[in-house]
Amino acid sequence: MSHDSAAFEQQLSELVDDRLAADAEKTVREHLDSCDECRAQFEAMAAVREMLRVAPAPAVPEGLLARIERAAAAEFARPAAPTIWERWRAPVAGLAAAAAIALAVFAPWQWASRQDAGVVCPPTDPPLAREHVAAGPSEESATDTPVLSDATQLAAAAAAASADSGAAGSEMTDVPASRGRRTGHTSRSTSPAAPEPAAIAEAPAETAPPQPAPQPALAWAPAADLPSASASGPMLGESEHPTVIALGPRTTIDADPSLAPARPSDIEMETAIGVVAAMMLDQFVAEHMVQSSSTLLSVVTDTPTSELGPVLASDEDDAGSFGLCFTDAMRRALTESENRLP
Amino acid sequence: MGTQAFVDSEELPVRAGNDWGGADRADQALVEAAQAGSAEAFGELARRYHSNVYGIVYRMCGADEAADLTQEIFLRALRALRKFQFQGDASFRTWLYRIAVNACINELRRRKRRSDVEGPSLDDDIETDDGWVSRSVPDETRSPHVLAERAEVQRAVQGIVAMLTPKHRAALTLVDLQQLDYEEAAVALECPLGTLKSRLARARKQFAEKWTQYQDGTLLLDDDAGGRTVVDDEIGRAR
Repeated sequence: MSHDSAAFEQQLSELVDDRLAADAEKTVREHLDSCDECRAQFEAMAAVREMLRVAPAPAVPEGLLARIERAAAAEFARPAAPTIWERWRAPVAGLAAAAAIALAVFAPWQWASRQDAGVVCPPTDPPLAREHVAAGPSEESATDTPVLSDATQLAAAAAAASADSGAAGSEMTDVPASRGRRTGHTSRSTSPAAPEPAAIAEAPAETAPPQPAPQPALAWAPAADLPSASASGPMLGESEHPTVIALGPRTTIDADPSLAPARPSDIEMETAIGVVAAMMLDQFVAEHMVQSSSTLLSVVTDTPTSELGPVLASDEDDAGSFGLCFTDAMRRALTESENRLP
Repeated sequence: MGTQAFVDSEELPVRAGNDWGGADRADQALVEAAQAGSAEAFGELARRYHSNVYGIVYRMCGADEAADLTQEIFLRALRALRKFQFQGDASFRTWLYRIAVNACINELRRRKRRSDVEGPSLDDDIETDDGWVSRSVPDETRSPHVLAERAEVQRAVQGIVAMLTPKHRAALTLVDLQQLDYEEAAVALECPLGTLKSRLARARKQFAEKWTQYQDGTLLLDDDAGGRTVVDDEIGRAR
């Protein structure tokens, strides 16, 4: 038995409090019988415990209770201050919509920037995406418009429907992506019934002879779990190629310049991030209601921005920018709420 | 709830041995009344626990400002009281102690930050490899009640406790001085049970070592200092 280990010290402390399990107590006591050093340490701990338990409590200053009661009475007399959530509920309700819009627009803009730089795979999974880039762009992906987030898919589909363009069929494969974020894929296909080639790995055309499925770059799901191809083309929940399943939903619409994603303004992004920050702050306050604002601030500032960024951003640069902006937003929210915290 | 209920609840002990059941039940009625807006109920809760909270603050932060911080802790508790719910292992006492420990740790951090900004002073705690060394000089001469407790052991205990790190200090204060059981102390400190045990063992070992130094004369505890080592004196002379 290593009597120098912290674990053994802890066992001695537990033995002092008679909190050690019977078998462990037997083992420790046997050791103490044969080890003077450990026995001395045990006796010292026991002496400390006894000394502290009988130590007189500090005398409470006279009038302290009366001070507390007066202060509490004054606090009761004050009108109830709204909670942070109550104070922010109305703005949040409005800003949430702005946040959704900003985020929906921001995601495709990110993809557009990436595509401009020659990156052709959607940012579903950065490591695997890089793997695909190394293999070279596919023929089909070279004509792709940016990958849209779910919110953007819905917005784009709604816009297409309302414009009644007639040529744009919307087909969404409601299959969740592997990491919680679902991405869509937009192609220039003008036939909604036409089978869609795989977004990443170059899927064979429907008329092409069957061939063994290539090792899909993004096929992290077990092959046995993937749905089989449908003779009539991919249906909801189905796809011709495993990688399509892995990529998540697909949307086929016409390439309409009016639908081209635009970069959100700084104000829109700050608004969106501010809303998220406010919500997270409110959750913090609810879960750590006894924490002071300074403690909250330390929590925020101690949180690596790299951990905050991936919530919405898809690459390291954006993650860093987002993290910094988020932290600033949290700081502002904390400053505003400082007097509200217990 | 009327005042009569509080009068009845006063008959219940704050603590009977390690059985907090009666006190918790009484607390629950008081808390619910206070949540409904009864200042009297909250006053009764303060009467029950202000001495324990003061003891935690005193042990962790020293006598200086202990009364002010105790009052602030009760105000924080009052402001957060409507969110408190009796669920699972939650008890008002443990919840209140958690507020107290957090407030104390924040106060120690504030003092440390102030020290970082303004530079160290002879009155600030310093952190060493063996933990924190308090060089605060509690103004214990102002109040008769403090003068009355200037027993040698009491002073030495306070001085040595103040040398521990805040987390070790909190574990020792709650378990050995306030006599909470492990589970309650872990809840109050918001840490896993194993962490609490580890901190407690470390704190007891360090306290025992300091106590031995104190008895050997290598650890000096001045009349007006929470704790001062020979090394501190050397640092002081170097300044």
